[in-house]
Amino acid sequence: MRKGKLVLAGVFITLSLFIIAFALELPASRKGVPGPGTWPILISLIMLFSAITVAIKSFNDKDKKPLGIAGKEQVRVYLSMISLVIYLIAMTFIGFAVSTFVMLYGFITWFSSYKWYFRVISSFAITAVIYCVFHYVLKVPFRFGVLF
Amino acid sequence: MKKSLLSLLLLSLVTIGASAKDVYPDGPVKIIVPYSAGGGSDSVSRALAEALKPEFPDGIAVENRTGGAGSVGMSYGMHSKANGSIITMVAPELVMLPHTGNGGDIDYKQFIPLAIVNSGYAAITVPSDSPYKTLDDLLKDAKSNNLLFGNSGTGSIWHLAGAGMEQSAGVEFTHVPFKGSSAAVTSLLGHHLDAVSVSYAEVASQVKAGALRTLAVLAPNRLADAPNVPTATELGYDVVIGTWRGYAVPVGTPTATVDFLTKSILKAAETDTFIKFMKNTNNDIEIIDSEGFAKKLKREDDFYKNLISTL
Amino acid sequence: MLAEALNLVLQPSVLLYIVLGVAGGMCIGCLPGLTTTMGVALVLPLTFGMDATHSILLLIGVYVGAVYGGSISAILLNTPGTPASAATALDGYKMASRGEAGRALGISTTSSFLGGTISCIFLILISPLLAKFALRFSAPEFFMLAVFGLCVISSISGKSMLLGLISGAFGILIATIGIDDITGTLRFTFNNMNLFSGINFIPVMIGLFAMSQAFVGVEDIFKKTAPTRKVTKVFPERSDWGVIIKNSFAFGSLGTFIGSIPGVGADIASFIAYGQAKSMSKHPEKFGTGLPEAISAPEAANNGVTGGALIPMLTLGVPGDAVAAIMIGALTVQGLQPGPLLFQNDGPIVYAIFIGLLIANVCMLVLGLNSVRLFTKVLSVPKSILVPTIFLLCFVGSYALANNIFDVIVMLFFGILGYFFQKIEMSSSPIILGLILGPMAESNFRRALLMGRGDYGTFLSTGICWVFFILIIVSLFLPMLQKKLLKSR
Repeated sequence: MRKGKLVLAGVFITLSLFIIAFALELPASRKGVPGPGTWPILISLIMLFSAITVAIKSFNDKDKKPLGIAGKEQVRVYLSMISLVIYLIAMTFIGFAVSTFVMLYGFITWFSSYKWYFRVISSFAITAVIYCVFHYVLKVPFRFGVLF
Repeated sequence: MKKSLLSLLLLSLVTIGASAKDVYPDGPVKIIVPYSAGGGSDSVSRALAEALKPEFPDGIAVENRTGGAGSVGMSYGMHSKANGSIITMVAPELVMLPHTGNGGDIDYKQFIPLAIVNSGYAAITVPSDSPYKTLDDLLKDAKSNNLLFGNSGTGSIWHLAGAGMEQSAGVEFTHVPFKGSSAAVTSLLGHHLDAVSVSYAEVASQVKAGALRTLAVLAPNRLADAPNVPTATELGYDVVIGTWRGYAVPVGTPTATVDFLTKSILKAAETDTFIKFMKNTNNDIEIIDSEGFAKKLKREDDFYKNLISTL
Repeated sequence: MLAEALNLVLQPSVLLYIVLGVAGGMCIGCLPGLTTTMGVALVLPLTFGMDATHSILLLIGVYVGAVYGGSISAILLNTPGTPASAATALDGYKMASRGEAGRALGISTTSSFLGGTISCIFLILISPLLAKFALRFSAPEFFMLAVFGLCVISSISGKSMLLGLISGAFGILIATIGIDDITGTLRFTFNNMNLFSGINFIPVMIGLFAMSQAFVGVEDIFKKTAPTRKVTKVFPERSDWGVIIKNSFAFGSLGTFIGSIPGVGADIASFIAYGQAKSMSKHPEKFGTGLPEAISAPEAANNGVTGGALIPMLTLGVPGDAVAAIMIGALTVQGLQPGPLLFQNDGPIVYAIFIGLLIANVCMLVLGLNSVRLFTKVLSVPKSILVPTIFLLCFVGSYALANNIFDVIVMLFFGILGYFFQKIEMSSSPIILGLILGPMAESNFRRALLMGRGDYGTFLSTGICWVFFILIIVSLFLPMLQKKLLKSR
């Protein structure tokens, strides 16, 4: 937990400094009305001071509670995140319906021990229902990719 | 033999190409509206699509692609296939945003204009209990006092309307931007502003109810809805600024398709249902054909370039 | 007049439309990504062919249903269907994961109904008064209101106030991306056209709540979960009624008041209600563990907004929120002009709207209570199927918002970020609050100085400003005082 908080504080300190640097280049105030940079700088300062306080506090903190981001369960989460990024890319190139079916089939196979035909049917059914509801009822256009 | 085969092949290709052109529309057609569902641009486009339906057996539907004051949707339409399957609704933002640097890659020269169906002009409006009875009253006072002028957002058409009025009268206002016209009108109703420069359609109901008073419209002629309100030009200020809603297709669309679309839109704009819809929603029909639309784009591009550079 | 209005409303077809509207609204509301505004906008084109009564009451049905529907997925899956129910998710999901999903849904349904009904009564009795008051809000008042709303960050920060402050600031900073409202300058857009109009906060919310929750689901996908207790009773138990009634009256009225101010909607109302319920509570430290009052308060407030938002629309002809703006469109299509003249020219339709709104609320109560059993079935769907389906819904929901793949990328990014925030016990709700209120605070801060010609005194120039100023001070320092008192005792 302690390490995690230090990393978090570090990330937000960097982010706030980055924003302040960017905001300083925006046009200045005019006729007493704050310019576009003032507000981001003000908020970044609040973020900067809070992040520094968090850093100092957790530096002195003897909290030994593990953060729990490197276990077997978490690796599974990271793999799902990567799969979803691939799904997003596949969707734009291949097409919505096909890649959705593959995504669902893949995840259900991974997460369960159902018979193959049950997995095929359920993935197909979910894809079909979502496609029909969004495409025909809600008129959302799924027009991308080479396939369906 | 080979030659004749080749020519036969070529010929068949040409005829396929030609017949493809002949049968437009050969599939469903989309109208891209770069503004959100439920707004004015959206409902006008939907009403037009409804009136266009008889000409498009495979269907014609509106699709909203919002963002960046319209630049996202217009850019999407500009880059779409030039086969008439996607029509884009365009507005003055097409020739305004590029000059403010907020337009992304949109360029009016990448579009073939089809037709304009609707326009609305700016109206200088004050609360009905305001001391300003005429435009001259307001402008005279503006010389010594810094008046608060509400608009629908910095760089928006109604901000430019306020700026255009300011320039032609040689005075200076404090322009107060709001998120959308209705927020500006609400603030005017609460007497937090001196005047607004949004379209007449957006203040019409309040004017009729006696809460607000329009001093002048920045239109070429008096409006049919408000025959008693003078135009700024009549009063000696040469400023005409308004919005319009037109339809366009990307450059490269076959001429036959462009002609078909222009003709269909012009016809649809004259149907009874469309006319009734526009009357009910306080939208004025102003039909401009393809040629006039192209000229208007060129003219307004120059005009906004000059106006925006002086801001 | 009343008889005419009753004649208009009490036709079988009109009643059917209200029921259909509420049911459809509930479905739209509980799907993440389909917001209330979007639901109403989707139904709008269908109304063009109807007469005025059918059209407006169908839209009102959708509105009422969608505002309520958002809480269903918030409670069951920690996935607020609309921003207005993000505050409900805080305690609602905690109660549901204790196995009391039925109780949580019962409380949210009855509170929504009471809140909606109270706002309806306000709408009928004192709308001209409230409308006049709402018009007095100008930039300084809006700024003070936004700051007061931002103080709620202290109530929703969870374990660490400092981390909550960071995440709130993060949300406000995300909201500054895009074209600046006041000067029109581009900020932090890096020439990406998708960023010109800023980052839409709905995909951010879907990512932070729904997506990250699904990732947590992946983490313990092979763990056997305790089966949810069978829903035996959907009507709240007697012990909960005291809380429900007290909160519904207080926060239903608060919601009506907030809704009547143009430009302030249900999302803000529900967060403010949550914050106020916490600071008024005798045991604020228990908030966030699944308290009945923490579900009841935001739900009463967000449905309270439904009636409130109609006030400026009907009396002044200006929209109270984005939904009311669409309804104004629907009425003008019918040839009716909302505004001061509507009462004079078309009185019956105004009363028909009042009666219809009441009926819609009753519909919501009946449909809601009857479908609690159906909705809780979602929890018995095996996780191995539910989690991938939520993934899919998050993708489709964020895409459906503007038909833009960029929003899906935003959703996925914040989903991954939200997962790590959960790991470090950093609350995500302040980000949402910052996204909602940040732009309101900033633009009104600068607009006020523009209108006040640079004079900072403008922020305390009216009575309303002072009231908010005192409220801000009280809400910031009261919790500290309470802590001190508790300690000294």
